[in-house]
Amino acid sequence: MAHALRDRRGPPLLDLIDLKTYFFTRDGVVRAVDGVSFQMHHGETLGIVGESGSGKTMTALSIMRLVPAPPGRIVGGRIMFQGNDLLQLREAQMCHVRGRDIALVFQDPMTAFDPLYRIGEQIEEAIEWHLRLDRKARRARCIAALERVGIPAAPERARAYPHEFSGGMIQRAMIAMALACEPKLLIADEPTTALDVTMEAQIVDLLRDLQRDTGMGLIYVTHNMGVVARIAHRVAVMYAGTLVETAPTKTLFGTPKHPYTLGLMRSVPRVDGDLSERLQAIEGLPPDLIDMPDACPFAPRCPFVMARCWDERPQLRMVGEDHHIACFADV
Amino acid sequence: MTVGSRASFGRLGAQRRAQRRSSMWLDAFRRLRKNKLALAATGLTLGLVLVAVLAPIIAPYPYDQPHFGSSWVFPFRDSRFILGTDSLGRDMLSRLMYGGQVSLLVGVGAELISLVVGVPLGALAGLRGGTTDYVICRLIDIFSALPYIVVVILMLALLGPGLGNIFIAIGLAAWVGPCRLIRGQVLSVKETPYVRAAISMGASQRQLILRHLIPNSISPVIVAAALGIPTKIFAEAGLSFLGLGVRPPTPSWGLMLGESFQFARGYYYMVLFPAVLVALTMLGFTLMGDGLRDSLDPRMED
Repeated sequence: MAHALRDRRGPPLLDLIDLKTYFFTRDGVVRAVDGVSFQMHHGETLGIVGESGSGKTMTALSIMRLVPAPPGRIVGGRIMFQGNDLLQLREAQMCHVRGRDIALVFQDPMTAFDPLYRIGEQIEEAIEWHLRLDRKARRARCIAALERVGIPAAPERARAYPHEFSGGMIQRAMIAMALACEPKLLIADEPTTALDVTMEAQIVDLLRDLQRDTGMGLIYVTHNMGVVARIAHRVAVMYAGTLVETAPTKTLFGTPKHPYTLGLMRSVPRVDGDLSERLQAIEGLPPDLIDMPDACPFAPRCPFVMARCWDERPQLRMVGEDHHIACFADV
Repeated sequence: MTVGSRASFGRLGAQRRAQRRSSMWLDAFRRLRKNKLALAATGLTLGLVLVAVLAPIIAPYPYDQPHFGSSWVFPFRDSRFILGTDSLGRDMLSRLMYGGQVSLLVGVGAELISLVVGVPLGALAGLRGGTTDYVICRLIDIFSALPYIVVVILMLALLGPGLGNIFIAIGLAAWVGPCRLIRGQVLSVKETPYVRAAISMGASQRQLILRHLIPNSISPVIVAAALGIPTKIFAEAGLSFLGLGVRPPTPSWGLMLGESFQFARGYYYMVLFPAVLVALTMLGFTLMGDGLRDSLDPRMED
């Protein structure tokens, strides 16, 4: 299956192969990420969309090996980053991958900084740990990073405390911290959920520009289809811990093939659509991830459901140029 | 926060100072210096401590020297005894000065002991969780269920009399408060993204505790400690009143209160002076604690 996903654009930056992250709870095994595979290339932005509990955040955390353990554990698969399997690294080595090679931008920037230290100190600390620069070089890099994310009067602002920043500014500062060591892959996990729409648009544009300028890989995790359309080159749609569809952004929005993606598209209001029409919701609720049967997880809600869907789990198959779906039906 | 950032913009620009590792403590000190009330309170407290420490030098008489024939002298009547004398003709001023030694020592000493026992236990419970947390929490429950003064009396009965044993008993009986406080704080700080980020980058347990957990958990403990010192002084007063505290003729403010209570109607000053001193100590430590807490938190600026 993984082979079907490979293409010819040189070695991938990140190659996720059949990743499985389970949570072992008192009530049973929760398969938060259940066999997810995808590839990412240098300079590419991948949008991961899905509803709450679909496993998109856990996929992101698994790549960083930050799954809360216990109860969570990565039970299978490989995470090939620049040709090395991250799952084979010792924890001490992983500490140097985090922040330097792969950086993460959190959901809530307000609590991501220690309120007792100045912004500059905290950014410099990360630089010191990863790059072992002297104080002057550290400071310069920190200021440069703050300037790059559009923080005015960066030298002064570096001396401010987190509470002296507004919500949008502190998210910028966090992106600056993530970028300070020039990571090859940046994972942004719903970086705009704590912000209003205007700030959201600014942050999304900022991330898009930064991605283009630095040529890093960017994984943008969100449940906002509009944001994905704006920032991502390719989109991966997740449902109940599995990847159901992946395609270049244009293809996905133009000709979605998986019934779930179709349902999502119909449930999003469009500015150019018929405003008198009611939005269509997807019937039913997402399944309980505990002890899932070997069936298509979307089968209970799927308008195209067939007998086969209840007996086996559909694997990703190619339906077009770089376009894969996990579905038996031809929609 | 946006409003605050505008205001602090110019000020931050104005004071271009080199920032070092210890900037957190330097900043705290700078903020403390700007807090007039806290400074005054610190002065008051230091003054009280100084008088108590210097009592052997500056007190006009030994605390146990009786002046028969000049007992029950009211204050400001006799130039030899400015604050008057008690039933045995002992100089009140001298006794108050010496009494401060015992009271302050017990207050600070007992508070320190309760912190030394309570804070590490609470931090451990919060940090480790699981069985450790369970055991410590049940211990807290047991101690909370017993009346404080009974625990102190029991421990004193076991340890025997003596100044050292008094503050061990008072301090040990009070470890529950700081323990519970710091446990709660550590539990909440432990879950913050910045602590998790530090863990993910490979910060050692020691770094975590020293750089993030303690600084972010300590402020309520400092306030509690400052407020706790007067309670310890009262506890000693109660013990002395019951005859379990310091032994007469050694004075302590609490003992003096207890002894003179029966004369309060006629000889008000014998109650008033030690009471005022306990109140002043309480005020001094409380305001100092408030000031310390505020200065440790950068958000309290302005």
